[in-house]
Amino acid sequence: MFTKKKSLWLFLLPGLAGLMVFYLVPFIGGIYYSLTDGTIQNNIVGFANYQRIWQNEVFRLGLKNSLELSLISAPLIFVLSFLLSVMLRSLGRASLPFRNILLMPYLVPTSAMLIVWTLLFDYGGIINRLSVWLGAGRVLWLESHMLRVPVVLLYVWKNIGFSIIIFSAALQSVPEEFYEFARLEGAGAWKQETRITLPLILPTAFLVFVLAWVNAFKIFKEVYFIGGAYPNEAVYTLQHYMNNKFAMLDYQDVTTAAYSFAVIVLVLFGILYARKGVRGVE
Amino acid sequence: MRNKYLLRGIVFLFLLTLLPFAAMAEASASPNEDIKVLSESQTGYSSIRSAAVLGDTVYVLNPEGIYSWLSGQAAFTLAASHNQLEQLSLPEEERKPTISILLSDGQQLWGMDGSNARLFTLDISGGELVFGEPVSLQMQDRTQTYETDAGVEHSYMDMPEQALLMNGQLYCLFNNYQNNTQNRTLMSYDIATGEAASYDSEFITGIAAYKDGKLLVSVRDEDNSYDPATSAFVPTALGVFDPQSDTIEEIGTFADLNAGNMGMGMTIKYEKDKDAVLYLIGNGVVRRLPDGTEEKCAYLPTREFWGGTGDKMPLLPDGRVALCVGDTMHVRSTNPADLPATSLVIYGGEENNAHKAALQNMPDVSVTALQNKWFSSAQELGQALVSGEDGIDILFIETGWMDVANLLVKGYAADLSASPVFQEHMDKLYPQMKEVGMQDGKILALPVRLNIESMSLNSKAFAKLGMPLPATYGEVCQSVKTFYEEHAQEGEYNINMQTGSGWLKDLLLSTYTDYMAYKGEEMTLDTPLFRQMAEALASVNTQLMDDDEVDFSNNEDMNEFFQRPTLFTQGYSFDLQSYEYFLNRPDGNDMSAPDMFFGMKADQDAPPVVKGSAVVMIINSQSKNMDAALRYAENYIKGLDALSKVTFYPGENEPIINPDHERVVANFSQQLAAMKVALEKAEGAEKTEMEATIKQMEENFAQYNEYGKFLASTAAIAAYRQLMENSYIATYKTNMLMSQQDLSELRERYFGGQLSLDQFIQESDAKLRLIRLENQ
Amino acid sequence: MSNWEATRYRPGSRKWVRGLSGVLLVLISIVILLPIVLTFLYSFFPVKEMEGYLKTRNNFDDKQWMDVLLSPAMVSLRQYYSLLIEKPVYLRLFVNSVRYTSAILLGQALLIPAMAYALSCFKFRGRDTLFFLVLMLMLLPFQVTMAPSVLTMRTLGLMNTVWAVILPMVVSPFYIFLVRQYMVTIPQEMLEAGLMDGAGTVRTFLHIVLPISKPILGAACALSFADSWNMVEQPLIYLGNARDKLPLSVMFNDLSTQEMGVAFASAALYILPALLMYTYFQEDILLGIQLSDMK
Repeated sequence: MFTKKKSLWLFLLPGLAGLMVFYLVPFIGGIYYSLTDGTIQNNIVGFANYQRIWQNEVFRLGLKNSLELSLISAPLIFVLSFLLSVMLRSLGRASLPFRNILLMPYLVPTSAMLIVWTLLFDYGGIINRLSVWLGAGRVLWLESHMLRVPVVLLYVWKNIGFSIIIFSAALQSVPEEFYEFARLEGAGAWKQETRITLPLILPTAFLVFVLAWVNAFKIFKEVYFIGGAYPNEAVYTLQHYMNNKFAMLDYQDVTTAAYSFAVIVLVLFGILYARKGVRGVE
Repeated sequence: MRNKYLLRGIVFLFLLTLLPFAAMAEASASPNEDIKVLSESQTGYSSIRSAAVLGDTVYVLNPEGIYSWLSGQAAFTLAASHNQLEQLSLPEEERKPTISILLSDGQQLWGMDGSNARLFTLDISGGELVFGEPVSLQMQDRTQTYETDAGVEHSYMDMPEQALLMNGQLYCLFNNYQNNTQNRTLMSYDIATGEAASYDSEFITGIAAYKDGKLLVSVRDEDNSYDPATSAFVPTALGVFDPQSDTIEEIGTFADLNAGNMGMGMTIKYEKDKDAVLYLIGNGVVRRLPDGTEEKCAYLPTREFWGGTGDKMPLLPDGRVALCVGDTMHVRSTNPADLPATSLVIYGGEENNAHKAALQNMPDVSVTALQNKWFSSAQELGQALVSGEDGIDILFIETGWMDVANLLVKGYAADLSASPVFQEHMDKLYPQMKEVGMQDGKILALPVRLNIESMSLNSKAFAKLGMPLPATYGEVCQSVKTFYEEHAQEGEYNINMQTGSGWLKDLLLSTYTDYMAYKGEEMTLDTPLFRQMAEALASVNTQLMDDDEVDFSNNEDMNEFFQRPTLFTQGYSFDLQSYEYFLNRPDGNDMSAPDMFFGMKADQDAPPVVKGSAVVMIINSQSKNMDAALRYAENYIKGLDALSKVTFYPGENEPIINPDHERVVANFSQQLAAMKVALEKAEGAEKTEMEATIKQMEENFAQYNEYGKFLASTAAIAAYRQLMENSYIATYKTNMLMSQQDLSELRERYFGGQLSLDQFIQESDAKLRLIRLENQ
Repeated sequence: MSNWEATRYRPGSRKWVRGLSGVLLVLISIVILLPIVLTFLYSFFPVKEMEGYLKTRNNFDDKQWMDVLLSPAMVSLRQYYSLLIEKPVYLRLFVNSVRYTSAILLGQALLIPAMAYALSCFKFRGRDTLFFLVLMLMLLPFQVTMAPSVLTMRTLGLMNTVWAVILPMVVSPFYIFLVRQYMVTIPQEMLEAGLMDGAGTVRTFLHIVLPISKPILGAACALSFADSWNMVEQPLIYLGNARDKLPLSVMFNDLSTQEMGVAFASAALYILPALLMYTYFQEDILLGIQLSDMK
């Protein structure tokens, strides 16, 4: 650990400057916008926007959906990628091709996949054939609230590879000796994983969870192309709300919604972050 | 001593008082003037056809003769009369040569007879035209021929787009539209022998006399002027053309100020003393200096430079240019210091009478239209206004397609309540129009145009088929069904101007939307009324309609289509001027034209609703030229023509006489007379064809004489008022069912049979609900 | 060489665990690959056949099923031809995408590791706050700063320039976070070893930290490539009307709605560079995933 080194600034400054200009300044500037009334004169109206937005049921719908979708998707990715990384590790060298395949979806631009997705989930498509075979009958995947399923699946499909890589890297860092020791003590496979692996890779786990959450929001683009600007109520997310408001020149609503959301996220992660084990460094 | 100083004091004071007069004298000699040609006779229009400069004088040619103007004069004087129309009624031997183009070689005037390919000198020193010995030009390869339906072949001589005299040669630049190309051909003819010379140099779009026997040319391949890869136009090049070697030496390019200037050719001029090139763009003249930099140097209040051949931009010895449009010659200084100090940028709008009236009262302000920018949504427009990058001062927007109300609420429009002119205008409007422009009791937008859409049909055709006239949507569906059941096989009538079934489907939505909007109710499809209407549509076999679709790009099919009377005439919107004509046209004429206009009823109990779309004028609240913008707007409102006023002031009910009526009638008579003279000499097939043409002309003439008298007759106005009684102005919100993207897709799927009615209603309503709640 | 060759897998794993894992992974791989394979497969179908097939979508008749197309009536390369040769627009956009991606990757290579190094290996006042800030900024989706960013860009005069798209991505907080989390696991001894040998912070950075971080840098490179290749919102907002500067990702959306027949071919062409990029760098990425020996 270096302390009191002047060369710190050499490393810190460019990135810091960029962050300030392109992220922090707009972020703070946006707060100002959220306090104005949206007309070109930018009159300050204080918290009136926040009040109005929170009373708007469509905003709340968007918020609810955003949170729900990401809270479904993130743990799903977390669990699946953990399991898959464990499986991969047990295969050793043979796991290479699998890992390549699993990473491919991330590199493939999703907008290119949309058509195939709409084909698969079409009312007369393959997934429905499967569904009928399993006895569940046809489902309106793309038109009803079941749209959540293709959306979540698309998300998981895309991001599983990435999380697996991270987990794999972490899993490797667990020294062999620990497992040897545990086996000698008579612990079974499951006990080994939960009692040894998980706690040791907690920082990484945190990382994966965070990344899963972050990427859950980037799914907006794809939902927009399948469902349009006003899709089924089950997938109308906060970003739809913000996007539509932007189109209607209601910049104050966009920023108000954005900051309400930012506050929620901050609080949630502030809590997580405060728990020391997660940060990973003194 | 006191006397000496007193004397000096008096002289000084005297000189002082002279100063203002001197200043005024300076000011009064404004470098920019507009001179109109006044027409003596009643028959022709006084449009200037061609212009040329000889010494200090500008000579212009119009159908009545040659007029001259010397700097300092207030008006043109008739230099020599030469009424070309009158000539036509004389026997051929007595006719004097026709002058199509007036030219000058710096020493004397020349005239070119386009139709007979002759060139001759003109002498007007004696107040009468004296023609020199005509030289026949070898223009055979510019002869164009065409065949009429009767099988008669006609030929005519191609007229050059630009022409100039230099070094004993007449250089002509011809366009080749009949060969489907935008590129031009350069030819030259020896003025002594008429011998032609053609050149291989290609892509020349404009010519000007240069020096050393060479021409300045503008060059661009107009057929490939747009580069889709860069989404921009290829810049036009400037070159020097040497006729001896038939080569072009490129010396630079023009800035793309006119963004394309497609197909219109470049009007260029060489300025010797500055070694610069002047060229015409949109509504101004730009000077390109030898180093390649360009400066705007003259402003013109109009972009309409269509007509005129020969020298399109005569250059006076004092450095000014004289540009002719219609019957006016605009003389402008090319000194950038003389450009108007203030400028206004307008988005949308058109050069109509109100606009011209506004410009006339504001010669000190240059008004330009925003080029090549098209805002497809309020979002784009709002961003442009906020960023101020286009410097838009005034906007004309259609209320149906852009969310004007939103723009007003957001404060993008300036408050116009203070002006009494605007107050008066708003108070005189139909209440529903006034509403569109008001926000919180303030005037923020001025409605300046109103078009209405109503249902129209050919009632005589209905009567002939024994079908009742429909009034509701259900009845329209019934008419379609009856038609296909009983009359379609005969193939003698068309059901609608718009073939296929699209119109009927659109009518369902538009009638319903109109009804809901008129009632002021929130849009929802889940009503018994909508279901009833949708079921009426479902009961019609639309496949039959689609099978009858006509491809209008095929001339034969199109002609066949128009031989038959049409029942529903939806291609026509209500037009005051043609109302009487439609009502009274003879049987067999214009069988696809309506004679009955009315609003559609959604069902028996509903009112007949007519939809109006309005265009409003808004002044950007961030405009840097607020005063000039306000002046423009006020002049615009004051300059609204009578026809517009009738359409949106319910209080204006005086019939409007067509000011051109008398003149056109006189013109018509003269033309008929000339044709009759020609008829006597014709023979055979040509004679029959001419007879048919004359008969048609006489019929048209009679019609025009009777019904062309009014731009808006009493009956027309009354019918219009009737329609307006149940009307509403379409806004972005009311048009949403048709224009919003998600909803349009649903509609497509429903009409494509992929959704059931219930699903369609359910999903549309879900989206409508989302949209509505989002905006609370 | 690959450390996978060394016995990094669990020597005691029972065979059945490995067998089961293998079977499951094969199944999962098939499912994962299915969409991609289908896209490439369908890109070889002739335009008309594809259009006809796509028209059978959205049919709510319970008695009808969409066909499961597995082989074309005729293998057709026409779509590729028309995309690549007839409309040179595609190539130009491709070049644009390449330029953006390389510029972004280059910029990131310069800035991100340095920033992560500062946040992980230095101790200074406010470091944790700064890190928290980075974390927070990373969590916010683009829409949050969309509207005010436009204003910032305009003030800086960067609107409608390529820099508006490149610069924010170069300092993306996400990658700072990622690399930092990795660098944090570098043992203290390594850093101190360098110090004892007389190297300064810069030397330590270049000769110790960076080589060790190869794994995550490789991963970050691949991920960043995917992100940049894929970005849609930023170009749309910042570039607006400057159509000649748009990257391929944006135009792809336009293309696909207009010409359904060539949609798959354009999708395939769009995916291909990403896949090739991945195969080329695969070695590096995989090589780097595992921790290297510290001694």
